Amino acid sequence: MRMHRHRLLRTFALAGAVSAAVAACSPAGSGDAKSSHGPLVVARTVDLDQLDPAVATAFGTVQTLSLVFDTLVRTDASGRIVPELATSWETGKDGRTLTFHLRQGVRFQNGDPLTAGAVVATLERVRDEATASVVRSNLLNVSAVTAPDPSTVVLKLSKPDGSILNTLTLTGTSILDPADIKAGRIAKSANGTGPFKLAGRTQGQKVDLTANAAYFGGKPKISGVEFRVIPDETSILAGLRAKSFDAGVLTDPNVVSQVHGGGLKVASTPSLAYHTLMLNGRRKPLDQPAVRQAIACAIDRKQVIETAVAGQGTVTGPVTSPGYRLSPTDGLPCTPGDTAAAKKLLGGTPVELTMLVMSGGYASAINEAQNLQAQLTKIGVKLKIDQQPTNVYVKRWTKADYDLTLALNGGNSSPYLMYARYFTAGASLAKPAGLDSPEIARLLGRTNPPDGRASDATVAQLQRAMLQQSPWVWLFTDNNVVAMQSGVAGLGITADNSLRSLQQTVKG
Amino acid sequence: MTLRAAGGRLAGLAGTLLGVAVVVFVLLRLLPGDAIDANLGTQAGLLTPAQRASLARYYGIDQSIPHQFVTWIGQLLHGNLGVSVNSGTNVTTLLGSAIPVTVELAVLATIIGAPLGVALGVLAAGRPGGVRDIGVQSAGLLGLALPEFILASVVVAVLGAVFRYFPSAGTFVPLSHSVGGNLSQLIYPALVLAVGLAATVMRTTRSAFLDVARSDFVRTARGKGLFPRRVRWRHVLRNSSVPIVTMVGIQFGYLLGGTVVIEQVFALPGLGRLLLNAILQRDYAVVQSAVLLIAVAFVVVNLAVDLVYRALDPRTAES
Repeated sequence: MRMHRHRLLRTFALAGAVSAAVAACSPAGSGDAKSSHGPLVVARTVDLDQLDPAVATAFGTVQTLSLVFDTLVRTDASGRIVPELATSWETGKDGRTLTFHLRQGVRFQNGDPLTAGAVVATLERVRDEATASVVRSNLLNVSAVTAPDPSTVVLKLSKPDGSILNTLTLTGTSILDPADIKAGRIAKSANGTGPFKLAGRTQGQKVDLTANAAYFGGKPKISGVEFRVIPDETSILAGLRAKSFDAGVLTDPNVVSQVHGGGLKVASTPSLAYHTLMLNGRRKPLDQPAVRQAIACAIDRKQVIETAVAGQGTVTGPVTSPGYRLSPTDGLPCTPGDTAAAKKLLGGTPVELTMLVMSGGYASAINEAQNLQAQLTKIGVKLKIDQQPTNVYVKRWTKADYDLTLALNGGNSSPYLMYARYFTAGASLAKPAGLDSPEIARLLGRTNPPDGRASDATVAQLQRAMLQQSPWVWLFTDNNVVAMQSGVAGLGITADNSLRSLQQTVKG
Repeated sequence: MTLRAAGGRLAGLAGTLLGVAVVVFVLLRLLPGDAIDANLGTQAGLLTPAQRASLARYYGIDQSIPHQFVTWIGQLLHGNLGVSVNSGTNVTTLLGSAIPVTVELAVLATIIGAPLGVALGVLAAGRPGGVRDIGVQSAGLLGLALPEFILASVVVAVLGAVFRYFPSAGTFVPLSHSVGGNLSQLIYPALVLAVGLAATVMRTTRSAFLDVARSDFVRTARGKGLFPRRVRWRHVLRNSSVPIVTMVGIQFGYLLGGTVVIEQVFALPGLGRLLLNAILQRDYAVVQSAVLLIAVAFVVVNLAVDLVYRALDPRTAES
C-alpha cells in the first residue's frame, strides 16, 4: 500500500513538472508588451466589428476607427471644438451656411489627396437613408453640401443649427476617400487620414494598427498599437500584472477598484454617458411634477455610486460635457437624500410603480435598481423591479412602455445634441423621453446658437429647468478608465472614450 | 454492425439533425427583438422606417420566417453555411478557426480528467467508508460544487499576481505552429475543466466498481487465489468500464459545447465564445451552424462510445 502511495505521489509530481515545463517554454508575453520597441499592447473586452465609420456604433469599433480616420473638427479634452481636417470655419450671417477650409497637403493612407470632394461624398453618404447611419438624424437640417473649390466645403442649412459642428466631431462623419465610396470598398478596408493605419485583424483576438508616418499631425511616437480582445476584465487585470499588456481599457468598477500597486497606474475621466432614472411623466402619478420631484429628492446619488459601482463614478446633472462646470443638483427643490422634504412633496400618498431594468446590458443596472428600490421605500414609494433582456427592454423603452426605467444613455459635448432628440416637439425619441415640456424645448433651442457653442449661463439655465421639472433623475457618470504600466507615458482616455492620445504615447 | 443497422443509425442521425435545425431556427426567431435592436440598442429608436428596412435587408430578416428557413436549409444542403452579418466573414471560416480550439481543449481536459477520475474512483472503492473513500468523495464533491468560472478566475488571478504569467498573452497559437506555445495556452483551462470531469468520472467509477466487486465471478477469481490487484484492475475495472466510458463520452460531448466560460476567462477563440457573441448579436447564420455542428459532434461521440462498448463487452454487439 505504501508503494502505491509513493507511485501516486510520483505521478502528481510528474504532472506538476510537465505543467511547469510547458509554462516555461511558452511564449511568455507573446505580445510585445515586454519590449519597448514593439507596438503598444492594449487589452480590452471588445473587438472591431466592422470598418464602416458611418454605421459604427459599438464602443470598440468607434474607438478603433477614430484612430484610423479623421473628422472635419473634433472636441478636445475640455469639450471644445477644435480643428482637425478643417483648419477654420465660419457661420454665415443668417446662420444658414457653414463654410469649412480644409487643411492642405493631407493624404489618405493609400496616397490619395484629401479634397473638398471627399468631404462632400462622405457627408452625402451619411445623409443617404440607404446607408442607415444613426448620425443622419443629426444632419436633417443640412439641405446641401457643396465644394466651391478643392479646399472649401459649404454646408447649406434649412435653418440655423450650431449643433452641426458637434455632429461633425462624431466618428460617424469620418472623412472617407471618394474612390473607396465609389468602388464600394468602405466596409472592406479602412483607408483614413488618421494617425494609425489598420495593418491586420484576427477576429475575436486582436487588431493591429501601425503608425502612419504621413499623418499631418506628425508620426506617432510608438510604432503601432495591438488591441488584444480579452473578454473578461479580471483576466485583463491579471495580464497587466503579468506585464503581458502595456495597458487595458476597463469598464467594470469592481475591477478598477483592484488596480493598485504592481507598477500599474490609472488614467480616468468622467464619461459623457450618464446613468439616469427615466420617469414616464405621461402616466399617473408621475404626471404630477411634485411626485417626480419627490423621487428626485429622495435619491442620494452618492449612495447609488457606492453601492452599484464601488464608488467609481461621479454625481451628475443633465449636462455631462467637461466644457460646462455646473452643480449637478442646482435646481432641485431640496437636497438629494432629504427624505423628509421628499415625503412632504409626496404629501403622504402611497405610490406603487414598476421600474423597467435591462439585464445583461450593463453590469451595474441591477445593483442600481435594488439600491433605488431601497431608497424610495423610505418615502413610501413601493417599487417593483421588472428585469428584461436587452431586446425586450429596447422594444418597451422605444414605446415608453414603463413607469420608470433605468438607462445608461450616450452623451455629447453639446447639451442640445444630447437632449433635442428627447425633448423637442416631434423628436425621434420624444416618446421614450416620457415628458413633453415646452419650457425645456424652448431652453434647449437657446443652447443651439448658429456659431455652435452655447454660453455657460444659457446651459446652466437649461440644467436648472430640467432638474426643477425632473422628467428624469440624473444619477451619475461612469469613469472611463485605462490602466497601464508605469513606463507608459502620455496615454489618457477622454470623456467620449477616445484613445487619440495614443498618438502622443511613449512606451518606456 | 449489419448494413441494415448502419442504415438505421444514419437515418436516426439525419432525423436528429433535422430536428435540431428546426428547433434552433424556431427558438432563435422566438427570442424577442432582432439583430437591429441587439446591435444598436436604444439608438435603434433613432432609425427612420426606411433605414430600418434597409438594415433588415442587410441582416436578412426582411423575408418571412418560412422563406428564411427554406433558404437556410437549401444553402446548408449545398455546403454553404452563410455569412456572419456582424463580421462579414464566411461562417465556414469562423467555425474552421474556432472548432480546433474547443476540440483540443475538450480532448486535453478529457486526457487529464478521465484517467484521474478512474484512478480516484478505484482508490475510493478499495475500502468503502474508509478514510481514503471519504477524502476522495469530499474532494469530488468540492470539484463538482465549485463553479468553473470561479476556479478559472482564481487560476488566472493567481498566475498573474504571483507568477507574473498570463496564459493567453499573445494570440492563440495553433498546435500545428508550436506544440509548447499551444500547450502553454491550453494546459491551465484544460486543468480547470478536468476538475469537474474527474469528479464526475470518479463518482461513476466508484459506484460501478462497487457493483461489480460484489459479483460471483469476482468472488470466484479471489477464491482461485488471484492477486487482489489483478482482480481489481483486470476483472472488476474491465467489467465496470461500460458506465465509465458512457460517462466520459457524455462529458466529452458536453465539453464540445460547454466551454464558453473557460474560453471567456482564458481569452480563447473557441466555439463557445463564438456562439455566445453570435447569440448576443442575433447573428443567426453563426448560431444555427454552430449549434448544428455541436449536435453532429454529440451524435458522433455517441456513435464512438457505442463502438467502444462492443470492444469492451462483445455481448453488446451480439444483443
